[in-house]
Amino acid sequence: MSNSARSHRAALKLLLAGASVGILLGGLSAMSDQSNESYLSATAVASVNHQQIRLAEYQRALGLFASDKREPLTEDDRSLVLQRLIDEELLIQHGITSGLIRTDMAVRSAALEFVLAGLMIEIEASSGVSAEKALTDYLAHLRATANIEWAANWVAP
Amino acid sequence: MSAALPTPRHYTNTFRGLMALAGLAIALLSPDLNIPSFSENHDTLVSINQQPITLQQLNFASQRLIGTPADTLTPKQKNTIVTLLMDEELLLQRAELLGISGADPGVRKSLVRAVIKQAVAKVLTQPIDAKQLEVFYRAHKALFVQPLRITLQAYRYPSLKEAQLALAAAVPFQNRASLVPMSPLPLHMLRRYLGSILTDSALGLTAGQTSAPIMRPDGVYLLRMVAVQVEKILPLSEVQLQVEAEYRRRGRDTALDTILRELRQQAQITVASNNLLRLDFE
Repeated sequence: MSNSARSHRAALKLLLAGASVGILLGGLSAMSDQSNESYLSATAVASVNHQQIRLAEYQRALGLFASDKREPLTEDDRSLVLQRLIDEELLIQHGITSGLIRTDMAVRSAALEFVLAGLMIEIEASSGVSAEKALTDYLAHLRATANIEWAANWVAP
Repeated sequence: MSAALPTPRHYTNTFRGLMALAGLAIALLSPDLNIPSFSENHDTLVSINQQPITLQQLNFASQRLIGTPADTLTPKQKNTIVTLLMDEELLLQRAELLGISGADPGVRKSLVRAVIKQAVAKVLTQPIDAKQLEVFYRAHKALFVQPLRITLQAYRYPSLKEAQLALAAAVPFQNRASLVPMSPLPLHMLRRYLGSILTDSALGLTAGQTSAPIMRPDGVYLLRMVAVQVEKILPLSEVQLQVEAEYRRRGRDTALDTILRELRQQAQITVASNNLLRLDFE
């Protein structure tokens, strides 16, 4: 057998092996997609880009919907409520990725209020330090660990 | 002897060599490379973990806090505002890191509102030209109908005899208050005042006509039709504002549907059917 024919056969074997691995990985990936549901915890009703919608949240939304409706909830009602929760999560994720937390004043204020409220709870729990001092210290710590670059034409404080 | 002609393979190798050289040059020079639109935003005052704080933000904050544009401030005032913006930015980054921006109900609600506002802003602000409005009006005329309205007098008597006497009198309903207001009422309002049976009886009357006594469990009724305004489609000139409002409302719904459809298409959504089946809805 000539060298050329031998190397051709070796190349074919390599191609076959590559294709087999590809098929195997593709199959595994498809199977994992099909069984995505099994990754959801027992307390979730759905996930949107891996963000879970909790059962409690769904039940609370159903309760609100039912209080506005005189008749008992139907399957369509329940499906509508779940769809609304999914839509809400989609809008929230879109808002976050669009940077609305910085550009929209209402969102920015709400986010800052929430962070500060959390900080105040921590500060109140730790005794002996005034809230203002603790917040200043915390911000100083954040500043010290951040990568801050000033524009060349700006005189930094 | 003739010179060998360059083959296509030769050209390919030359091209690859040139590309490799270019790549190498970019890699070597990259620390000094400056792509103005990318790394040198003249609007940026300071960046915190690659997140810029811009002159525009400074101006906005200055207007909000002091009521004047930033260029009227002293350097000290500017620095105070920039420091404030930096602190806010650090806290926002903290919020993002902890994932609380999507977890707090208040933040979630304001995010949803802001996304919807952004999605429908164009529809709500763009002017509607007269032709567009007319086409919409023609296609949705049924929405701009003035419903049937009836002006009616209704009187209740304790007995048939009294009702008959009143009916026979020249001025039958003097000194007696009507059970319904003397104004044009749509049918559903009339039904609320009189119930279905009396309203149906009223519908058989023409303007100025009085009904025969109508016996009901709670008394005997006489109805007098004052005026009937028949159902009619209102002309565009009369309902222009309503047509515009409806046009924008539908545009808003369409814009929202569009963004949701796009987001759904791009998202990975999994419904936990098994968990839903386990729920007891009884």
